[in-house]
Order: sequence, then C-alpha cells, then structure tokens
Amino acid sequence: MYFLDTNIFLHLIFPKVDRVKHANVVALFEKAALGEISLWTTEWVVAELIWFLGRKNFNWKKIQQSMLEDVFGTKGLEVRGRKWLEEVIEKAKKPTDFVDLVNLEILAGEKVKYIYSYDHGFDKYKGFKRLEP
Amino acid sequence: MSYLVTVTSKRQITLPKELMDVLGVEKGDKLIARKHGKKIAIEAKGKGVLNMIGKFGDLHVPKGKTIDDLVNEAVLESTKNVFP
Repeated sequence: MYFLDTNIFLHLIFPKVDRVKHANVVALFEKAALGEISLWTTEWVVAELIWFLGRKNFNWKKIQQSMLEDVFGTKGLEVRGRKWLEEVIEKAKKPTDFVDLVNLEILAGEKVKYIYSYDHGFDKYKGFKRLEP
Repeated sequence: MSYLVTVTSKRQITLPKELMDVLGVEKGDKLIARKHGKKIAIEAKGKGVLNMIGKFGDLHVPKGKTIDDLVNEAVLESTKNVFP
C-alpha cells in the first residue's frame, strides 16, 4: 500500500505546473485503477486539498462534487475516514464552513460542550457554547 | 494508452476493459465523442480522480517555487490574522 500526499493530487489537477510530474501521477493512478498497486491516503490529506482549493477561490460546488465523485470514486484508492469526511463535505456550504465543520465533528466525537475561541463564526453551530477567555 | 478497436456494421465499437477501468467508466455511462480533424476523441464522464485534470483551470506557480511552497504559503497567509 502506498500513501499519497496532497501535492500528488495537486499535480494531477493542474497539469501545466509540471508536465512531467503530472504524467507520472496520471500513470500512478492508472496503475492503481488496473489493480497493480493499492493507493491509500487520509482524511487529513483530502481536507488539506479541499482547504487549499477553497483558499485559491475555486468554486465550492465544484470542489464538493470533485471530492465526492472523483476522489472517493477512484478505483484503487482508499481514503481513511472517508465516511466521516463525506458527511462533512456534504454539510459545508463554503470552504470556511468546511474547516469549522471538521473541528466541530471532532468536538462532537469527543462530546465537548464548551470551547474557547474568539471566532464568532462558531456561534451559529449548536451543541456547544463558545467562551472567550 | 492506444487501442485498436473495430467499428461494427451498426457503427458500434467495444471499449477495452483496461481503458474503462482506468477512466472509471461503467456500463450505461454516457461518453462524449468529438471530432478533432481526422481524429475522434471520446471523453469519459466516469468516476475517478482522472476526471479532475484541468477541472479547476490553471494554478500559477511562480518560477523557482513548488506546489508545496504554495500550500505552505497559503497556510502562513491564513494564520496572519491570528499570529500577525
């Protein structure tokens, strides 16, 4: 099993950045699709990919659709924490929501009721109370 | 990847399984066939990460920098308000 880092996906998505690296990444995914190798990545790599694309102002709907259909639909690629990540991606309405929701899902999993933060954005979410030190 | 395929009397062709696997194309999927001069390009709309190629347009990477540099710079940029 081979771990994939975020930059592998970015070199796939943006061919013009480095044509050679892009071609090599395509060949890697083709090998995986044919069952010659097994690729594996984590929810954090996909989260970083989503966050980066959002940061570069790419369309959120397109990012959502790409992750749910393209990344998760890739033959020979296993994503750890996929189900959890799918739910967060579906819930988020914009990239900044996505980052907050990742934290909120973790908080909910740990049954945290209070958080310290100066970010008023958290006030719209239920299930815990935001406090300021 | 190149394959030799045969056109039947009903103008149908069979796609090699390997090609379908790589592109994530399944039975019943729709494909787009386009004419490019003397060539026919068949565009797959199957599932899979290869569909993401070019989907987001271009990413400008300044000379001498890598994609990882851009990711790291974006992280630093996003924390500017927190750690000015």
